[in-house]
Amino acid sequence: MWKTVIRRLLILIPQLVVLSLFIFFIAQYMPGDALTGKSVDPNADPQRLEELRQQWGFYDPWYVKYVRWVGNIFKGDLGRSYTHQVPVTQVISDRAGNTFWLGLMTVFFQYLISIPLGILSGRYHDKIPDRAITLYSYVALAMPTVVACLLSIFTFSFGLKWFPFGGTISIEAYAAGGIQAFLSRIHHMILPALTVALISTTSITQFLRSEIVDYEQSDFVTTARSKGVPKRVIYSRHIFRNSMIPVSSFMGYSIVGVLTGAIFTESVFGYPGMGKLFIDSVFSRDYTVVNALIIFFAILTVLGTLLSDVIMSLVDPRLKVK
Amino acid sequence: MALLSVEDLKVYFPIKGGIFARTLDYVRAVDSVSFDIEPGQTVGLIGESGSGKSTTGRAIVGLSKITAGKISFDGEDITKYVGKNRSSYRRGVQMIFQDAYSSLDPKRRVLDLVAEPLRNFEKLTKAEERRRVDELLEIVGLGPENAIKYPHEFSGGQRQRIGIARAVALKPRLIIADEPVSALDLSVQAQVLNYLKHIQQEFKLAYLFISHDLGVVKYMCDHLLIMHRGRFVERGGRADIYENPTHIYTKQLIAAIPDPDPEKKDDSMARRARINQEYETLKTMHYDPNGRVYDLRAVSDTHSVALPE
Amino acid sequence: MISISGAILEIKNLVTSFKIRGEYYAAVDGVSLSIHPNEVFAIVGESGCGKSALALSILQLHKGSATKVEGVIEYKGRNLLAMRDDELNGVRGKEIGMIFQDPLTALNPLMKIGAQIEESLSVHTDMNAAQKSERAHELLTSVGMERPNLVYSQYPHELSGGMRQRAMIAIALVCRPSLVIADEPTTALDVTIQAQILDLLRQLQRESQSSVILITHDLSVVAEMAHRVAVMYAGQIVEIAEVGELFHNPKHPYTRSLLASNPSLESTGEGLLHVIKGMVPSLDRMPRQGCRFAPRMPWISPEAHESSPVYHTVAPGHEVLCGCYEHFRFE
Repeated sequence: MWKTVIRRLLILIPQLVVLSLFIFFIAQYMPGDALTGKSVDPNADPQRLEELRQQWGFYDPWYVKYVRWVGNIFKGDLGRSYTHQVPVTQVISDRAGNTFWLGLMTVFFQYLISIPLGILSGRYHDKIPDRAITLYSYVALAMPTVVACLLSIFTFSFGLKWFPFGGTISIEAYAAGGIQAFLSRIHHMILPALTVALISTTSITQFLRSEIVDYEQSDFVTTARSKGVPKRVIYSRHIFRNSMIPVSSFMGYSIVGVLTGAIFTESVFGYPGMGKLFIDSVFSRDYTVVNALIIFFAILTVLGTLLSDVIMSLVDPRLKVK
Repeated sequence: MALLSVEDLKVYFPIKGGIFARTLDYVRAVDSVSFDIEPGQTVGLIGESGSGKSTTGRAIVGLSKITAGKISFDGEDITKYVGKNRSSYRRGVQMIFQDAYSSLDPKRRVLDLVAEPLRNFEKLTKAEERRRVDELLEIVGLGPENAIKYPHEFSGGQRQRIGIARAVALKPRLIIADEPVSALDLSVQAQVLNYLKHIQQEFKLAYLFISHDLGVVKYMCDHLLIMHRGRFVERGGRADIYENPTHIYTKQLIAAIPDPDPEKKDDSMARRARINQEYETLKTMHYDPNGRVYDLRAVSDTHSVALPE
Repeated sequence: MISISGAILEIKNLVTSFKIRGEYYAAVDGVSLSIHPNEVFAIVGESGCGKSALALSILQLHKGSATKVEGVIEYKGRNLLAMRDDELNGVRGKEIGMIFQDPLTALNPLMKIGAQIEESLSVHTDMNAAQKSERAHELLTSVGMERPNLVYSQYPHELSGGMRQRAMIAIALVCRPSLVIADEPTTALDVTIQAQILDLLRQLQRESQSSVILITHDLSVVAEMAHRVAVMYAGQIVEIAEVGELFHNPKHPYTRSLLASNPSLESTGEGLLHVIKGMVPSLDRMPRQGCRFAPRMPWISPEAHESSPVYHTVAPGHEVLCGCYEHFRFE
């Protein structure tokens, strides 16, 4: 299996080369540059700006810029953010942790909600629990993320005042540190994580349901029944376990989905993660940050699918051989 | 002159492995087999799953890539053209599959399915085409009213007969029949076998009849090839194989046929036990140290066995 | 060989119906038979004759809920059809074991072979882990596994087809059932493997003195395995006899036609095989009155058939449905 993992990682290299060229050119041909965005003082002397453009190599031929960019990446230097005036690596690493923890919590809620729902739906398919869950699934599927986020902020933050409006930690908790800081961070994450989880359970729930319904008809379930195994045990030992295999392999894709979804949710919730950074950087035309983030998301996508395959081969004995 | 001549046919499938998916070794699905089929002859190719019998048939019609070897049709070397659009060979050799259902496009009517080979190779008017299709359906015992139906409206046996009608549409000289009756019930199987015999006389056809069912092969074929591990272990006439099996594998295969006489059941069980014992003690003699089957060696005019020198 | 008294299983007027487009159609239509201790009873017929529906009806293992089983199935005096599901679970696997056609799909791909054998023991006995493991190893040895210890901790996909079917047999026999139902146990296997499995089944049956119901489409398998045999056509038993009697003195037109269409019996290659005209009617188009085989022998005059066919005893233990057998000739 490790050979497969290594092979997949090697395949990643040409993919990244093509992707980096693509990103590079898109960034090149986007109108404007870091010195035309809103972040620049409108009273700045145009001649001074022109000097800066010269100085920062904005007029070099494309291949010089590309080689310089790639070369720097290998040195761990993703460039400087024009707006933040600090290295991109630093900008990202400040936010990456936030996004990581939020993403983790979202995936956790996703599975916590969708697995029981899927099992209930499959076990009692075409009965009332299943119909109710299916109805919920369709509503969740049809709900745009942004609308769901705004609705939950309006209800739980503005109306009920259970959760904060945004940010990652309250100022008092930050000052106090320790367990209080930890709890405050969790408190800030719950609403965005739960909101996203609630509207993104559909695929896992429905997938699990159809797996269970299919497995009820399978031959090995008939064998188990012929042994006199009680129905309850047939579900837990034979049907659910087999149904969970493809669902567990969803994990990698879920992570990718949540991270890319973060672009919207973080902006709405004002949560300073990579998603919000991405949107902010696009608006301020801070292309060094945008490029780095796209590459980062691309690598995550490949790693996520790889993770799915690895999980699959760990839980399914049929894939362990070789 | 043989109608079809296969010389040293090899079909290897690569086994990939390692980080760069290099070819580590090959599965020798067909490992140097040679045989001839005379015009009008029925040659039975017998083997168990994984023996390479189906791959041999598929290689002849170009469905499996040939690794090495030579195939001649009517005395002409056509190895290069197998599977290509070369009309004399494409028309001359047709194939019938085990699962007629999956080899017939469900969205097309029987008329179109049977007419397809005609459309590829002959320019016919609509009326001529319809007449030919009706004739072909008639030959396999289906009335002309069936021409406008779809495959799912037929039973398994009828679908297999549609497959046969399609295969004989271009009046081929050789049909490769890969397990043509294995999926069918006994009474239906009898009907399909009868039609196969009937069209053989009508069209002066030769068959390569690929099967695992020794009863069916015994009924259909006058010349038999026993395949095991990608090689031939024995070749001979019906009597040679069924009454005088010589290779230990053939013996085991013949002994495995259930005896249709209930009085003999204990005899056949005892015979099988004896032959299995014999197999264990003699297997080193019948296979080379790598487990490979030896080359065939003639033991009589009609009978050859894979034995060491 | 056949003890008339004390049948182990007695099926009386069994009707098994499937729901098709809102209506029930009988796939098994009024079957009665009894299985004696220590006998191999074969049920032979072509696809769609109802033989598998009959086999699944005994332990009520049909998939889905659109199946209705009516009549009486008495196992050692208790009517299985009157039992609740949990009562029936006490019979399944313990008293009656089942072997299925395709051992690859019939085994749970995520459970090791040993665990699948032990599952029955967990349900039906109080054995501890060590005892269960010992019994599983014992079974794996007796079904002819060369390396029982290895197979015990292997998954189904790691075994060959023949070995999987041996594992399936071990599962069916682990609780020492008095009756084993084998539904096409060798159909998915190669010829040489089929022979091994049949020999094994016969040897185990002799040792255990249990009864076997063997469902098959293959007359040669019947000849090799069975003591008695029932021939099914269109949901009914058309002929029932001792195996020697059936092969040497077949009476019902369907049995005779089936034997005449077997290429293994007509093996000279001369002449043509007998073909049964027409086709097996589908469930919703099956004739429900009169002789169901009549449409497939139109050259026999309609007067030969009985309007409500009954069983005729032609020899002790040999019964034939409908009087048409006396007038049958091949076309």
